[in-house]
Amino acid sequence: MKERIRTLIVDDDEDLRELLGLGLSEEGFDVDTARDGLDALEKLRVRRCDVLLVDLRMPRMNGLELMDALKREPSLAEIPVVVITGDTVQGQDALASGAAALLRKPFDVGDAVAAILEHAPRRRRRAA
Amino acid sequence: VSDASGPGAKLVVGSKALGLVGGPFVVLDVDGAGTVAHGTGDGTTFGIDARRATGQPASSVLRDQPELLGLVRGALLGRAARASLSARGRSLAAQADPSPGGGGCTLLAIDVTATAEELSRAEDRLSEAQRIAHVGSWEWDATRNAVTWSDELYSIYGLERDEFGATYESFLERVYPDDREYTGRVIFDAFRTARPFVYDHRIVRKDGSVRMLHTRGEVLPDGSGKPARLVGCCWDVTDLHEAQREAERSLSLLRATLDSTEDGIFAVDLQGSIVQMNARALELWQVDSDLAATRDTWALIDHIRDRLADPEGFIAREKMLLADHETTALDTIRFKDGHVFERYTTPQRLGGEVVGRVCSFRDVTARERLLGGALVLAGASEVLAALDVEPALQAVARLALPRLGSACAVDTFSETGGPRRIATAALPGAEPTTDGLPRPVLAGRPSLSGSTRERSCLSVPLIVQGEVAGAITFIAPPERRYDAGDIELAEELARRAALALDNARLRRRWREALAARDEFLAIASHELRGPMASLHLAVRGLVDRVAPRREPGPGLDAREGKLVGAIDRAERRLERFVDELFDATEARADHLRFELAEMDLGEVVREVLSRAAPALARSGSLLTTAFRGPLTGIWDRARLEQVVSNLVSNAVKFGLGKPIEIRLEGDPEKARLEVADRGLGIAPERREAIFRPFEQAVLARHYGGLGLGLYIARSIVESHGGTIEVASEGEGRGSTFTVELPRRSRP
Repeated sequence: MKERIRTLIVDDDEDLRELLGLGLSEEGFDVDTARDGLDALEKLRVRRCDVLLVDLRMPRMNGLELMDALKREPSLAEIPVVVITGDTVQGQDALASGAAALLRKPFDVGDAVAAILEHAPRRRRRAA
Repeated sequence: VSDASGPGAKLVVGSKALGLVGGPFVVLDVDGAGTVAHGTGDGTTFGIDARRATGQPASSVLRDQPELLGLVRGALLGRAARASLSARGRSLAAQADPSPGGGGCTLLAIDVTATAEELSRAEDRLSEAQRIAHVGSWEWDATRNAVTWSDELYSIYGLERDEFGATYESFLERVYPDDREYTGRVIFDAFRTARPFVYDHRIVRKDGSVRMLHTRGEVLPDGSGKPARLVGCCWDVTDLHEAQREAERSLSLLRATLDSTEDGIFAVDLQGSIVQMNARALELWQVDSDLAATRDTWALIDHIRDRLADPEGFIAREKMLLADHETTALDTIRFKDGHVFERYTTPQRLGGEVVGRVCSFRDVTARERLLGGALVLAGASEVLAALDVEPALQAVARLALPRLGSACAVDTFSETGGPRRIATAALPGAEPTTDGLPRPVLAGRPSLSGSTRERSCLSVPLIVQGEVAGAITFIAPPERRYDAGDIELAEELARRAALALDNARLRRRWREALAARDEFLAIASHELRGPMASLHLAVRGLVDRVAPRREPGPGLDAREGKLVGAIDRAERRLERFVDELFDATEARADHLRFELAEMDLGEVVREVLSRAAPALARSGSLLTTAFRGPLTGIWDRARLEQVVSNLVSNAVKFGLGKPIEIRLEGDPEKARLEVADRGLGIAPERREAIFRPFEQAVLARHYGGLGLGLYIARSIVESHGGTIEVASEGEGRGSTFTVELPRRSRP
């Protein structure tokens, strides 16, 4: 079985998690989901992923805080983060803080696929 | 000489009489057979030795003078006679008179040889002098009532010699009727007292004109010492008199003018002594008559010094004026109690030479106050138009000084109720206003306080929307008391300040309301994006699942297919709304972002038109397009697509099915897009409003939409350094939107 690109969708909107997860699964990605930044950190410590899809506004730990937390953990610091947002200003802040790409709400599954493929590590991209 | 009892007595009398005559003379006193003679000077002039003649009979003494002897004989017989005779080449005037008591006579003979010639010349000279001097002489022999006038006097009276009766009565007839009684009295008194006299009287000339004569006269006695004749001279002083009258008239006019004018007037000489002043001057300067009587300018200045606002400046100016005689000046003198005088000063000249200075003072307090008040109000209106009310009220407090006092404070009630001092101002050295507001002000009425010793304090309420929102308080300088005019001005100032406060409150609320709206919309547009994202993914997923077939198939019947289609269309429309709202709030916050790249505007327009084709077809509008010139530029393609799409959809929406024309032209500098319809059109007064957010030229309930499209379009075009405008001939006559974009957009 070929090794698929592992993605982690971090969003407090359950519908969005599921719909995007469904779409990405159909496109052949390995998909996991987390409710917020803390949830994501816990899951990543157990199982690292190739690309993070992160909503910015979430309870407990928001997207920008998650990005800061990732930078502090050497094993996780290199994971590319695709930020999902409805807010242009916050999106720009996220890019300035090191986000790899922006997905502006609303978006199509195709937009997400393109962003993941662009930023996933090379070996994974070939594998996908 | 009568009834002489001895020679000695006769001599004495003769000497006295002869002393009056002077010059060479001979006197013979004949008493029966005796003769008494006396003389000084050359007693032998006529061959008579006065000393030896004494006691000799007249016939012997006058043996060689038969004419004189004849006169003596006649006189002894009671006949007075005169004679002029010659002897040895001399002229002799002789007169013989019977003695008043009878029984003797006197003979007087005077050598008039020289006198006659000189008299003739002197008379000529006198006559000439009288003519030149306009002086006439007269003589009235009262005993004979004979009046003698000189030629010039006839000329003064305008009479010929034969036209004057030459009596006292005919003289009196010529006197001006009103002056006759007075004239008669003067002459009577002169006779009675035998004193010289001077008086003026008027005469009526033959031609009816009235002249004024100045007369000097004296009384001459007869031989017995009784007043017998009046002699004198008259001077026609009519012109002088007129001139004097004129001078008096001028003086009286000047006095009346000085006393009736509102101006206080001082005239000072070059030494600073007051030579003239009017009653108003004393009143204005509050100078009493004792002080005025000193006529001392510096005493007066000392008197007012303490009342002056700037005594040093005033005194310096006074010294300057005193030193510089030629200066004409206008200055203002301010008093501590608020009074203001205006002073005009000009040199007084006499025949071109400066002899002093005239100063006129006018109390211009009322005028200054009106003007000052008007300036305060005008200035206040100007500063209160500013948006920021607190600095404006601070400026008003400063403006009100010194017209309304030496210090000013503005208090407003804060939201929590207590007064808050938001502005203060004070003139240099003035005491600041005290805290706390008087009770009447809190009740909405002006308050005036301060006893005669305390400083006068005026507070007026700031009434906003019927509520006391604060107060303005003024403190007067120590000498000043507030009056009704001050209160009126302060209240007017407070009304304007209150209006500004009210406007500021309204503006603040309006700004807050707008900010709340924008914030709400920003939040809403962001919040909507979350569910929109899920909805979009769900609908796309659903549509993608059924769309490839576009027909009912397993698990999706015809009805379900229609429902999916409807969901798809509604989701797209909703997405457009959310995008529009989002863009509008981003534009308002100046957060629109652009990705500039070289692009072809023609391509964008064609794409937009091709997408709009179905809607165009449904509208029934016929589309014509014209493309010309270079149409590429450095722009944001997606944003320009938004602009074109908005203009085209508006044309379709409001075009009423009538033809739509699209013209696109490029030149080296810019590209120009015109979208013209012949539909609803826009009223002139709405043409600017349609570019503002949430505005539409027509009522939204007919046409829907958020009314943000043109606002976003303008934000995009202007961000590209371009312009967007609309032209319309009016409602129902279509609209033409014109977009101009520089081909190299601003970075």
